[in-house]
Amino acid sequence: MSTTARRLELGRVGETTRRVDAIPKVTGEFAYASDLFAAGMLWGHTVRSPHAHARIVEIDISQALAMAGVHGVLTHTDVPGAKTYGLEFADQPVLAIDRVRYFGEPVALVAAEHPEQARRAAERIQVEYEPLEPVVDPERATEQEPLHEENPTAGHGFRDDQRPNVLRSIAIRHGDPDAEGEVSVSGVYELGMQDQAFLGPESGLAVPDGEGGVDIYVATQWLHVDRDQVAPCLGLEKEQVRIHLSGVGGAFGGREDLSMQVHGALLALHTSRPVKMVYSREESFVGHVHRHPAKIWMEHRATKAGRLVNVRAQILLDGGAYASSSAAVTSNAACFAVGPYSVDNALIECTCVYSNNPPCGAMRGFGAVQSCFAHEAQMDKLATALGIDPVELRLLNALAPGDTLPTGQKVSGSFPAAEVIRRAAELPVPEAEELPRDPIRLPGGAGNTTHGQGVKRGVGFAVGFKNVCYSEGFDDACAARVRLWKGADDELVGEVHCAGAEVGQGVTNVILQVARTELGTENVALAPGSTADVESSGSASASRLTWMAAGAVRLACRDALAEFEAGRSAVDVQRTYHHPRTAPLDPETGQVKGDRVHVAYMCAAMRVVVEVDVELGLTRVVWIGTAQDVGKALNPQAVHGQIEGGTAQGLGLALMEEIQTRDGLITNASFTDYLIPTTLDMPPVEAELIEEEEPDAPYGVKGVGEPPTVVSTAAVVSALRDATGSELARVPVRPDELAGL
Amino acid sequence: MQLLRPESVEAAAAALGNGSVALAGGTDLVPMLRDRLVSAETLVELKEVVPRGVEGTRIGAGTTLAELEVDPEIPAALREACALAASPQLRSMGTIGGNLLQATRCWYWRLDFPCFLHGGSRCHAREGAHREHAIFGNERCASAHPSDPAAALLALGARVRTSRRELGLEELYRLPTEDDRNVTALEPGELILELDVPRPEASVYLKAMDRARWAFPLVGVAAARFADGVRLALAGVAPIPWRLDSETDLDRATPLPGTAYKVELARPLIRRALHSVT
Amino acid sequence: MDVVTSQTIGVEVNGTTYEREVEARRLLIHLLRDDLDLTGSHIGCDTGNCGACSVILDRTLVKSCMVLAIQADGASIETVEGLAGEEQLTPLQQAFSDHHALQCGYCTPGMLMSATALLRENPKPSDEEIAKAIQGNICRCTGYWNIFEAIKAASE
Repeated sequence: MSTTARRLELGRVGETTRRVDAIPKVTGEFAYASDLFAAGMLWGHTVRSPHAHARIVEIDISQALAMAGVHGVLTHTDVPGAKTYGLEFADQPVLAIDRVRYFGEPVALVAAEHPEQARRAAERIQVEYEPLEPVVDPERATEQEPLHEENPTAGHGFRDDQRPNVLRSIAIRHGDPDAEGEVSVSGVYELGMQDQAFLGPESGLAVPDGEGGVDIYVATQWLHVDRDQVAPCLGLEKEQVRIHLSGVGGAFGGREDLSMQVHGALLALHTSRPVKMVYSREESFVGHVHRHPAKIWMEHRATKAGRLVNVRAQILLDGGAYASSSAAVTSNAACFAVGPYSVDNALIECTCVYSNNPPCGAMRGFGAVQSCFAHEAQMDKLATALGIDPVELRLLNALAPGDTLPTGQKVSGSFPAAEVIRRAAELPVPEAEELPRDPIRLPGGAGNTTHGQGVKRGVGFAVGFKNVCYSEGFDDACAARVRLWKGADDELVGEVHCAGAEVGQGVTNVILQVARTELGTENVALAPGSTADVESSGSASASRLTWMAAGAVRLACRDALAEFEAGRSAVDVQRTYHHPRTAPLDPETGQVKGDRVHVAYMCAAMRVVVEVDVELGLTRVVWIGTAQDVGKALNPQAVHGQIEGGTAQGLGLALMEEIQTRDGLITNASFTDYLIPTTLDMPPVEAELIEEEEPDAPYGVKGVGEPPTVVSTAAVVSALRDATGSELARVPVRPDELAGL
Repeated sequence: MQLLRPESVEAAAAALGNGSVALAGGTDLVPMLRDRLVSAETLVELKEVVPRGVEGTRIGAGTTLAELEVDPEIPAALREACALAASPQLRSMGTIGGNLLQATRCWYWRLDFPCFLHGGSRCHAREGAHREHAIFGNERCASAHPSDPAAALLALGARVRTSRRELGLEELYRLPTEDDRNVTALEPGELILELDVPRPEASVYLKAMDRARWAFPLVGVAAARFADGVRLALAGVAPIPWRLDSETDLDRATPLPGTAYKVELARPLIRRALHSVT
Repeated sequence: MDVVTSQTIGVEVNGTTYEREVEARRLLIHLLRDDLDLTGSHIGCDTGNCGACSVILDRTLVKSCMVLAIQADGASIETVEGLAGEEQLTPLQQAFSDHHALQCGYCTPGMLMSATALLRENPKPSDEEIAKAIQGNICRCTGYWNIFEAIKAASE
């Protein structure tokens, strides 16, 4: 095979640049967390609960401790500091204390010379459980015994809701919630529990420093919040716990919570040896939070001419056993329930409950995905009821700068909803391909189930929106540190430190592009992310990191350059960037207690063509066209990549992905049984980038990761409805829902 | 665990049983060993002793699915069923003999519930989650047989030569009973060596699944036309590959609440398969 | 008859011959990653689904999490580490880089091995042949389209 020379591409803001990690990733040199190795390291293993809800009567570790190769067995009594942790509320035990609340909850830890020894020892730990009635139906959770003796989220400024197992509830009252329209449509919509299914299972290495502290090398989304949770549990000062970013095999929200970080550190400090932990895929399914399953009732009231008058919604989210980021998801589901439309009146109630189902938390588009599926189904239903073209109906009601959202926030900055709707609607839909075709170009795919019999075509449309960055008054910030010095030929050399996690989304390129642009040189390197070298970047989530990292790196570069140009031969500057401050919602009315509850909004519209074999219930997504409000594309090729990948995940939720539980137990914890789209399931995505610069953001950027996932589930199902004439109120829509229509 | 590499069928057969398990392609066995659904002190590698390759109507049990899917001499239904099993990487490893003996995907069985198939007294799927499960032969165990090639071979009227006897594919499979929870009639130490696959005038395999590629069959339909009529067999509808005489046999299905759709799915699929071979 | 609990096996990986003592239960992927320190092949599912561990074993594309190491005794194995020359990427690797055919990159080595196997057998594959060739490899980041484009570009 002939070969071509390796090239390294550089570039500035707005240019397509080659991923700086592309070469190590195509040669196999890139080190993921699972590839880590340290001399003398042990292997950690987690003993997990086989019950969704049980009292722990007794744990006997004596047999396991006596086994060959075993260096440590730990239970909750060995946790030296805080016994619980959590992203927002410390309600999750490091190791179960007297009760387990979900299937797979960590109960004990083992460290051994060899992974197989650790696994065998784990099997010899005898845990006596007394099973308890699990709370598994979110609709009944508020009438059952509370799963947490004291509500962990009480007293945090949320609405006072005394019902048992309420994790958070929100009511947004906007205008006259009883306002009547001339036409009304309503429906109940459901979404199953989706898994992030990042391809690299949780993994990390904890190394004791010999002075009581620990270094943790891990695949994560937010180094500093990991540290801030880990240190108190270990009974250590924050500086004694250093988290270093290792290669991350995808994240999508699933690495926002801790997985092995505390566990590995506990074992490492206990054994005074480095400890590596790697989850299997099965363990990964119980080792991270999932997308909240939802049940959503909505009623849309409108004039005969199609103007929305009042939107009423009741949203129920299943948060599972622990809080994770459920409070933010609840807020998002409520705040975005109406969609990117202007409406004078609304009553939105959203409740997230604790249950004994798997804990749910962040996943790409969190909260907005669920609401978008419902409000877009409603908009299609309203269009049908009124006899108005669905795109026209959306344009008629499209939210615009200056309009007021149900939270009372006025849309400021850029928000080209009408433009994305128009541009997506204008994308030419491909003609139906001629028959005969290769089976993979027909519904049923490779299964060869049709030569065209039973096939109907459908075209769907959806619009979605979501906030960028953190909200509700959270002091969201990102730090960057820039070192400058004179290199060999008296040339300026820069080194950037930023803890923003590269999870595959391409933030490394963003950081380097910004630094090159600001410093005017190509001689810039990005140092590995570590809590030891730089302050927090905040999380790689909520589509925030391009905005925040660009802001921080720009600020630090400009100040560093100013110092350098003032004559200093070497400078080292750290700066922290804050986006415009947000304010919380009033707990009783859901109205913002300031200018804005969210920093800014981003929207996308999507047009989807499907073919459905209506006799067999098999589907094929033929083509997807989308227009997305991106502010400013810093690296256009990478933006397209995010849109395509985000769309694929929404398509997965629309057609096949659901974690199945039975009495709280996950029954399909493998890629054999939890299906993810393959290359044959995914059509080409034609994407138009709408660049209308965001005035509050560096270079006018917005985020790009979430909108495609928010809108694609709704858009795919809209097309399925068009093809079948069925309501299809629940996703995933699988063949059993469609067969024999 | 140890590995034996016998040099003759007799030695292989003698080595099996009592904690010894046969290893061919490994694609079904290796993950089950890891999940401890199968425990083995000894693996008996069959590579050197089980025939591989196609000769006339005879197919060595060690022939891989990848070899069969591209062999123009093989009836279309079998070729297509092999091509629709798993993924290319696994089809290069998995053998046709092993494929016929693959274990069910019933998750209660996989999660090691004390279900009927594991020797217990009840079928958890019947009262639990069972969307992927059986519509025929499901009174005691509602698991669904996952093999595509098995349905194709059943429709084709294949015969199996084992280390002890020759039998029709219909005799190879049996529903699990109170006294014997196996789904095949193979005795301990009995090895499938060869298949004899009659040549039909036309045959086809159609497979409905949850995504465009590479999922176990919700319903798979194999049809083969011979001089004396068309034979039909289904995958994914019973604990074993299931023969039907005609579409009207679906009226005798005993679906569970969550599997009723499979009956509706099977009807047009059978009609299309019949249309395709006649 | 040979009885093997652990045995010394010889494999040739990317042109280098290795001898290692392995337990009968050891999987090929662990031999590659843990014993030979070839960590480019990844474990994404350990059930033969995701394809991140795909390697070429005696000219056949397999999933190395489904092969016992001792089954590979005497075999010649190619992994992602063997694709590029000292300073040279293969056209396929270069195309993955050019076409943004990776994000987190965890699936990339397996994708490259599947695509390499395809292009050796079939240097000018059709669109359908490309799609079918990577059907056994899951990617969660890219939506596959850039991977498809990269393989197509490398075949031209």
